[in-house]
Amino acid sequence: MHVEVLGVTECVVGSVEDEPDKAQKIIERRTALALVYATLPVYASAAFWLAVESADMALEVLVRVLRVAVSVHDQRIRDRLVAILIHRTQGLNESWAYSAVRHLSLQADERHALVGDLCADLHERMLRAWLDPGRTFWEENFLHCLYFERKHAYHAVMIREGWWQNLHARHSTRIPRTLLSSLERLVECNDGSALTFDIEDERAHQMLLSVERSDLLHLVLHLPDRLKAVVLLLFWEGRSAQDVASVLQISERTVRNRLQAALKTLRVALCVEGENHKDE
Amino acid sequence: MSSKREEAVLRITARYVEELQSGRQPVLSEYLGRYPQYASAIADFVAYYHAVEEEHRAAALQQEEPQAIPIATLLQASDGRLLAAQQLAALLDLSIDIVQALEQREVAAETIPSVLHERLAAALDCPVNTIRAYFAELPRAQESSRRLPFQVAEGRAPYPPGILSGSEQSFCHLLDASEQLSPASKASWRAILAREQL
Repeated sequence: MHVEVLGVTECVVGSVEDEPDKAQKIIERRTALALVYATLPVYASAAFWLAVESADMALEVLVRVLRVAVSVHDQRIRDRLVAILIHRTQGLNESWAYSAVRHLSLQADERHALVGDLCADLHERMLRAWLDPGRTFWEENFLHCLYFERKHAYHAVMIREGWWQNLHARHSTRIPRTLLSSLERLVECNDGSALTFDIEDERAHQMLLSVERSDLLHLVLHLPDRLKAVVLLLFWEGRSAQDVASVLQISERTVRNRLQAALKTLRVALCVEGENHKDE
Repeated sequence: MSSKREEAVLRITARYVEELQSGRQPVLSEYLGRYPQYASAIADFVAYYHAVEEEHRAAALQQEEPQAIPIATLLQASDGRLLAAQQLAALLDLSIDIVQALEQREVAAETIPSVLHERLAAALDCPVNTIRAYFAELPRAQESSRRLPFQVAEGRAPYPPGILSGSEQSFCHLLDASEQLSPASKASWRAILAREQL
């Protein structure tokens, strides 16, 4: 389905039958932003700067104006608009970066350096995205696009800095009851026979007992993408293997294989961490 | 990821976040079932959002949370508008008997899911902490004893979690006991309780 608002045509995911109010919401949002853009004072005039530097100016509109400046090769205005965008988001991003690394056991100076890395990586990604006119969603929902760039930056920095393993187990944490019971539960096949998941390493299983429910999401975050959906549906949403197979349109055998792969990854991570703690 | 694919994932996950932020409880499996071709990317974002962004958002909101303004009843919005129990029940996806028990504060505060706080705050147009403060008060049935001029020398005993006092019962028990709430609504609330570990 396509929706056109003030000359901008866009494809809407899903169908009208699925969500009848979806198209209307998109139209309203785009119309409001398009009106702000259309009523901006003359490009590069003093009134224009007054408007775009106002704290109330929608960030989506600023991105659109920035792209106009880029398209006409106006470097001076481009740089000033980038500075405004960075200024408007810097505090938000710094607070996010501190929040994202607060679980890591770090010295203050290390934490500060890691936050700096996260912000630098994020700003580079944001800049690339703002300058890419093909990424139109930035002109519609800035904050959501920012979430995505933060996700990429977080993932990249965590891997680069070697925090992949360390995040998997922390002191004084407990496993969610749902995860525990799921590990112990037999999963039934279509034919009624029970499937068992090998817990090859009892110690790794015990290590899993030291993980809190809130940490399940952190664990999932570091699994390969293809395994995440299965683990989330089984342990976070409490679905059965049969449900998961039906939702993801895969066989139960694939669900089982992905789960085993995920558990294997988690076990390895937990055991490595366990060794680290023993050495300390 | 191609830009077209990324754009589609952005739109789908934006809807998920919108639902979440408006106090509803989006069901991940519904999203994955509707867009199996994007399942991995959606799951990746959802895990990240709940693990990192939501935590950050909650901390930021806590810092900005306004002072609780006491309310006398759940059946009156902040603008003075009166709500019938039936109306409120429809807004909350609950039944009238449960709404009445909530109104009477017969439910132990610690067993009420935060989703219900958010829905009530939206329905009554007041801050979430006002709703929390409402449930933290004694049940109405015990209010009269509180008004007695006698002073009690000792405070409430520190009951271990799970043991509820007097006329209070758990929200989960209310759900189970309700004969008016539909099975679908019960299932939906049970999923919320499971997610919030209540």
